[in-house]
Amino acid sequence: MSTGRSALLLLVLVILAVCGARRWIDVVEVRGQSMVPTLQPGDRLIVVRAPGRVADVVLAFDPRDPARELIKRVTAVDDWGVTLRGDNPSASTDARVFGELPPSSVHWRAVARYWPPGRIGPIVGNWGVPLTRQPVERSAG
Amino acid sequence: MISLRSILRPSRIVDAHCDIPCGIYDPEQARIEAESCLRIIEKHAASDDDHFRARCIAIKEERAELVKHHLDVLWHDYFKPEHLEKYPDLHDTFWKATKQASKVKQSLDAGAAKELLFMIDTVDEMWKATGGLEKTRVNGRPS
Repeated sequence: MSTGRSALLLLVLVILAVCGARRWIDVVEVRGQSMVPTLQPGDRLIVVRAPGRVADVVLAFDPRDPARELIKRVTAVDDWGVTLRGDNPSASTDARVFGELPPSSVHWRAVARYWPPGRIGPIVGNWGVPLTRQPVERSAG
Repeated sequence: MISLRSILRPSRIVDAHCDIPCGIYDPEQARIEAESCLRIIEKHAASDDDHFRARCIAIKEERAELVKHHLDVLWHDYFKPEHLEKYPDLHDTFWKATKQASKVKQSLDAGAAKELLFMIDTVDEMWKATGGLEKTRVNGRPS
């Protein structure tokens, strides 16, 4: 990990400390395997309040159980909504099951991991790489 | 005063969720297939019908392959790193047991099949000692 990245992360943490309120920036812990290898269970992330763009890792409420907050990757954004997929498709319940979500349900974006120390850095995964996954098929009408 | 610890403490858990993993594991699956191997080897030895004997071999190889599959699933899905701390010989046990299953697949030696049952029972003890019975079966094993 470069000095630049460490400094940036430190800056974010300082902002977090100053903000305190955690309304615009927050820290969360990941549970589950569906974002492996990008995210491992137990990873701790810095998230910022922002809408999801294609390729972002975002937080969204599970449409089937709003008490559960999901972390997934945005693979498409269109007129129908936001398509979320896990980076580990064989162990992910995502848009293939629950379809697209209204854009308003995506409310936080993951920007960096600060724990474990060995993997500190920005959340990239397939960031910047053209996505091959297509939005889920929707039935007519 | 805001401490670093309080800043770094996550406010909540977010789910990289999957509905699918059923979480049901039991070495009994491997044992039943291994028992089939033993019984088939005995039936093979007792028969002088070539057709029946050929079927015995085919079925025994299939069952031995299933033993390997069930052991593999336990090994890489049920057992976790914390179990390895408790049982440092866990990998060696599984390696030897799956090798033994290969031996049963290749041979018609009843002794090899009995040895395989013994090895599966060792895995079963580890599974029980790590709470497998309570954690991975619905209402435990049927009695």
